[in-house]
Amino acid sequence: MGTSNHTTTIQFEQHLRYFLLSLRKLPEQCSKLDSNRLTLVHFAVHSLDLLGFLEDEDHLFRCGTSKEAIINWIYSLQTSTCIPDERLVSEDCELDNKYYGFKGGTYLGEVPHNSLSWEYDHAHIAMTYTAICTLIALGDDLGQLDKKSVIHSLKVLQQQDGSFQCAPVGSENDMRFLYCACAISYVLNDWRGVNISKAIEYIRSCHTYDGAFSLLPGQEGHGGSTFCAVAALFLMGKIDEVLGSRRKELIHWCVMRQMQGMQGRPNKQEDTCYSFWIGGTLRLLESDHLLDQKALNAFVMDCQIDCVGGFSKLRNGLSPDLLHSFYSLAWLSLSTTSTSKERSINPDGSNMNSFDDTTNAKNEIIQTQQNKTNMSLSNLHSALGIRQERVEMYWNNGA
Amino acid sequence: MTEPISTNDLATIFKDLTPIPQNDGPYPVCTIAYSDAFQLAMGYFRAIIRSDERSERALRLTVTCLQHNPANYTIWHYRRTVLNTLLSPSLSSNKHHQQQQHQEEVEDMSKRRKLKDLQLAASLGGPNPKNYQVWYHRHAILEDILLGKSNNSSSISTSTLNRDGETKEEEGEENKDKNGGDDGGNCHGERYWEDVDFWVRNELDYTAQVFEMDAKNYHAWSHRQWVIKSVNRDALWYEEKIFAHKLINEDPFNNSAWNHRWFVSHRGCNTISEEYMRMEADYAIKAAELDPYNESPWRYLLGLIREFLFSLEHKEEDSEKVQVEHDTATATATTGKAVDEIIDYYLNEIDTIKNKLNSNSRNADHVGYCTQMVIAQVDLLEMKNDDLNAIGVALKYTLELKDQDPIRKSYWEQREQALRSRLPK
Repeated sequence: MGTSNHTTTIQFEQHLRYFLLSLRKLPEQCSKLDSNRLTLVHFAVHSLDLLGFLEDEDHLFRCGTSKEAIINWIYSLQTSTCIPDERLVSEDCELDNKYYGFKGGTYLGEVPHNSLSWEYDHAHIAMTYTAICTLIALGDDLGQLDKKSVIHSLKVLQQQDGSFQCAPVGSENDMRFLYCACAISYVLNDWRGVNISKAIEYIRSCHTYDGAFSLLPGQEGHGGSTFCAVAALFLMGKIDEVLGSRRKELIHWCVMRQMQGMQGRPNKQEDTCYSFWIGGTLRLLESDHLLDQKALNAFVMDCQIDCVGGFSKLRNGLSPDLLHSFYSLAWLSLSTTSTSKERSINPDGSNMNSFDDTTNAKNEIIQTQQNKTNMSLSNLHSALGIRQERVEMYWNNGA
Repeated sequence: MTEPISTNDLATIFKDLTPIPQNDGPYPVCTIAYSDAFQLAMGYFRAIIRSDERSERALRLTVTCLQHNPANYTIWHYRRTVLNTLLSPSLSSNKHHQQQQHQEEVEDMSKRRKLKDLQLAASLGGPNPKNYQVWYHRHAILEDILLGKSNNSSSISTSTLNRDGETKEEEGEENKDKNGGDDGGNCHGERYWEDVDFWVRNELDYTAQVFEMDAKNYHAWSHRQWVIKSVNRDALWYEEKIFAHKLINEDPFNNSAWNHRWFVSHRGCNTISEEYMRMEADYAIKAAELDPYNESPWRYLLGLIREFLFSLEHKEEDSEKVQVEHDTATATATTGKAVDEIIDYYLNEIDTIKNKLNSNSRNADHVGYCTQMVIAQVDLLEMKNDDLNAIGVALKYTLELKDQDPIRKSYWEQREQALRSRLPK
């Protein structure tokens, strides 16, 4: 990797340009992501946050937007629809029959007058999760969010087997949306919308024979679903209870996914996003120090797209995309801030490992740009995938 | 109905409507540079969904829009809603004596329309579909049929039906024989099997086609598993075993195929008998022997033995669970032999493979260190709780791995420490 022509520094300025441009305008190819536009905003905003570019709004202003503008746009996607479903019935009749949350894009146009009965304008759980996370990253206090209703609406999405759908009509149900439900509940600090023991049952049913977690019961263990399962357990405070003696198997599965970069399943190709899905899982298990982070970071840096900014999915890929760019930065943030081992303490109270030694070894391959000696990535909340401080700030503001 | 409307024809066909522009508000973010054709089609879509029109032209418009963005879940949902309206048999206007004939005609039309929509989903998905919505569309079309919820096959799921089909499970439980299968007796009539067979074959063929492009397509495997499990028919489980073997044979490194074999052997998530476990373990050993550098068969083997160990430790709790027997199993000896005996047996098998590998290395130039095989040995040795000798050997191999699998040096160091702590000082 040292033989490539790639720079091994995080190209802060190029990434800034890439994410700002994306916030402003995306190319025609992104038409296929039109219904998930909110997730694209999510990737761009959180990446800028990790890079430290949300501290002042100058960058956003120069791009023709602002925190307030983005916040307003996100809130314009808040929606409530009337879905007759007995699971929505509650003691509080105000909440009956209404399904709340955020939708993914503006493709339905302006909503007609009697919006509550227009079932097509329904929310999507992943969009609700990304909306909430992005709003708090932008410093919003969620004052315009109908929190009680959002939580109550989660009930209609949870299935008998404990999994979640994304919407009350026309949706598959699996581990992704279970994770979204947990993330929403965690941030809003209200678990009344999630039947935790059912959720755990579902997670258990997805525990594969080789120690990982699948998207659906009986399916193959996969990096993405493994993160969703473990992060959901973390957010519910149930990791130890559910993993028990199988924790070691899971750690084994995760570390075996390293080739140089991380693969998502045995015998598959390395891909930058798994650096976060699996690296993040290991961080939640306090075991990411078991990876060869120097090698992993070298792989990720090999996927950095010089001049354009962003990161690609594969090494020496031709073009970046928002998803892989964000998850590459998310992993690099985890890796360059600390490892689980550094935060571990020996029985005598001393630090398990010297911070400098480990950090230097990992950061050998990543140097901050010379003219920005103070630039470094911000701390990530491993289970939520957003900047740690944002969650704390939201909670401290009397949420 | 599955024919899109070309951009040029939109204005004509929808001359009674005015396309509605997308309103992003004053300061939108992540605006997409949609093509003119996309904007026009979506403009008409916004207009037509406003009135909730349930017509053929609405269906055709959804195809046009889905060609631009096959991931738009709202458009898919609207399409299913329109389809449902158009497929509902309207018997009220018929005379009583014509009802039977009319119902058959309607069902026939329903079947054709459903098939067409499955073909539409396939064409919108492309040769290697990785879009959740096209797969869900297949699921929605087939759900009622496969779960035997409807007497006729006219409806398409648009509601919050349980993906596991709770009704099916309840009925199925009563009829499950020891083999965990359903002999198609009480809970489903012949009509069910007639209907279902056609659709099942269609899905098996389709997913097999996708596997030719990408034998690890996660969605395709999920869908295939759902179909098999929903129908839950002995003959189908047997066939699937053969299918999994075929794919493993074609590419032993295909971990998805290995997972499918596990799924099929366990008929979803049931436990298997000791006899069956051994047969599966033997299969894994054979595959490992053919290429010991392949992680998949080793993890399959370890998975089987761990599951068996777990089942012995929790024997009372599991006594009510259905146990799946292998189709050719003879009188079973489920007296639970000492786990050590099983572990030793497979450690021995691995030694045989190791010796063959080493003797090959004397003939060939160089045979690389076989990490996967040694990892399997360590994992098995560690399961022998009171055997210090075994732990000692495991430690020896772990030290080798520290050297030979350097990317995981920190991990092997941790395993080493754990092993050392089990040995006397």
